[in-house]
Amino acid sequence: MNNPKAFLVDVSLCIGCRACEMACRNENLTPSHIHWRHVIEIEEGVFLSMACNHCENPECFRVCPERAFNKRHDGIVEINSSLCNGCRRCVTACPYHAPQYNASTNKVTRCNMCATRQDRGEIPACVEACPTGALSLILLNDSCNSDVVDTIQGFTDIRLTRPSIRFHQIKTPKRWMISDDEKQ
Amino acid sequence: MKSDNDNAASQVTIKQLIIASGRNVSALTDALSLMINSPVVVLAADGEVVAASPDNLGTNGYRIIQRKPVNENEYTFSCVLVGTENQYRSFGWTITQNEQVLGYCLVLCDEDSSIPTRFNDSIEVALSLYVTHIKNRVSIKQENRRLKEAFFYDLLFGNIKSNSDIISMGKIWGWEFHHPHLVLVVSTYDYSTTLQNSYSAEILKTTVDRVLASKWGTSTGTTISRNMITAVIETKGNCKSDQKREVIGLFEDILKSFDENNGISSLACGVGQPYQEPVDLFRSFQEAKIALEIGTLKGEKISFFNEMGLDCILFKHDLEDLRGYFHQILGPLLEYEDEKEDLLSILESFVECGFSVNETAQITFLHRNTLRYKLSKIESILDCSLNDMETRLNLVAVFKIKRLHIIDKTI
Repeated sequence: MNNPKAFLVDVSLCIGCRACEMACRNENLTPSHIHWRHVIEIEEGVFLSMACNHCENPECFRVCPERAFNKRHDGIVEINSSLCNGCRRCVTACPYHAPQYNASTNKVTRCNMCATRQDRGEIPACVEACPTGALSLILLNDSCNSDVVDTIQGFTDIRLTRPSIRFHQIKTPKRWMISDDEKQ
Repeated sequence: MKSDNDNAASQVTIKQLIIASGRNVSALTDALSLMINSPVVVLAADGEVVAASPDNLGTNGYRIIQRKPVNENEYTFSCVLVGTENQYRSFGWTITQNEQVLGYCLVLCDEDSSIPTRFNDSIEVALSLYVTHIKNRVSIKQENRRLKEAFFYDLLFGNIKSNSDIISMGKIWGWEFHHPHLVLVVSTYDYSTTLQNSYSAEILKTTVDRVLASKWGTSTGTTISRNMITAVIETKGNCKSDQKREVIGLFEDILKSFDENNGISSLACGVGQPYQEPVDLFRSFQEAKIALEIGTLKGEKISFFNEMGLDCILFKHDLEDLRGYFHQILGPLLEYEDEKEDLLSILESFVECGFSVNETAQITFLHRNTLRYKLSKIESILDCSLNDMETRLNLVAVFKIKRLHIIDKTI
């Protein structure tokens, strides 16, 4: 039986430094306006690093008229750009805004979980770059840790797409960063 | 003590068994049957017939009942062998390796007769030869299943981009993919958790397989994923209603066959649209999962994607927009509800009954005149007519939103 891979995010550890975003862009040489991975602030001081979630029921995949998508046996959803006609149906269908349209090439591109790096036995660039360990990679069928949950508050409804992303339950920080103004 | 003649005869039969085993398992069974002069059936651990002599005994499978050990030996027993049509009194041996039960060798005999002891050595040799045959059979089945599941995965996730590749690969398992097919998924209502129990999932798969085989023959296939059983079936009906009837009949048969004592109380089914080209079956699979998800929320046992329409659009729509729309239509009634009677549920029943006063009166146990009074009160609160088409459309939509987003308590 296949054991798909998934991103595991610990929102409590994410400091919003965007190192994952930069690493993704350096690795995949994406143009400046294309963000395969992006960090969003779901509430004040709480950051979430998001990319394609390589869903169990990918909507991008279903709506593509050119059948440009495929799902590898390790769960990675890939797009064959040579088949893409730039219709952007996948862009509107994805609730996580993962597919990114490049107007200059009239193609859609998206995170491929650094499939080539993984084939070499390396971890994705974003995971490697995360300085706090907020981002990691797990095998979905092995994630029976009670601390790991399917969704957190502020994350898009997961019911239809069943994204391959898991979260550590949000914990109250033990230490706070206080600015000089706040000290006074 | 065995006599020299007995030993010599035994050597000859053992040699014959080994030679027959070299040919195949059927030849080995024929040789054993000839030697002991009785019919022989060899079963795998799951009751499937591995070989039988004479051949006409090899039906779909047997169950072993009334098993009694013979001579206090746990591996030798007398029993009754129950098939689909007949049952036989038998004398049996358990085929084991390292204490793992691989199957059974059963000699069909009369109640009073027993197997002469002079055959003991030959039967022991035959049992060890069966170990090899059954293990080969299991590994071939495992490999076949692995290949089948890999093919299914590629088919259901659109990894094979050519129709001819799919058709030629499907032929290996007897599937005719040049006919239109659809995908249906079967799971439990709470499918995120219950089928994690792989034993329950395997039982469900076996049930679905059996029902499909009896109705569709070999031109269907099933696979098991983490939390659901997926079946690819050929659509035989010419029009939508025929196809729908077919699938509903199939699901009812699955429900009937499924033993509720297996730890799963209720099943739900999602059905995708039929596609002529097998390269499009991945769409049917995704549609079936959407139908299952939305149907489960609505409490439906079987849901067809091509009937989802508005439900699907509303389910995927932005929740904030939906919340605004819901309050825009029903806001005054919700505010009124906080203090007074349960007009919201009366209105919901009225919408569910297709805006029929008589039907609504029946299910709400209200007198028609009382219901009319309450409906006119609702009209005055909402400041609209319940006979107006626009109002009716809005009410249908908002109650669909209420049901689909039931998890979100704020709506």
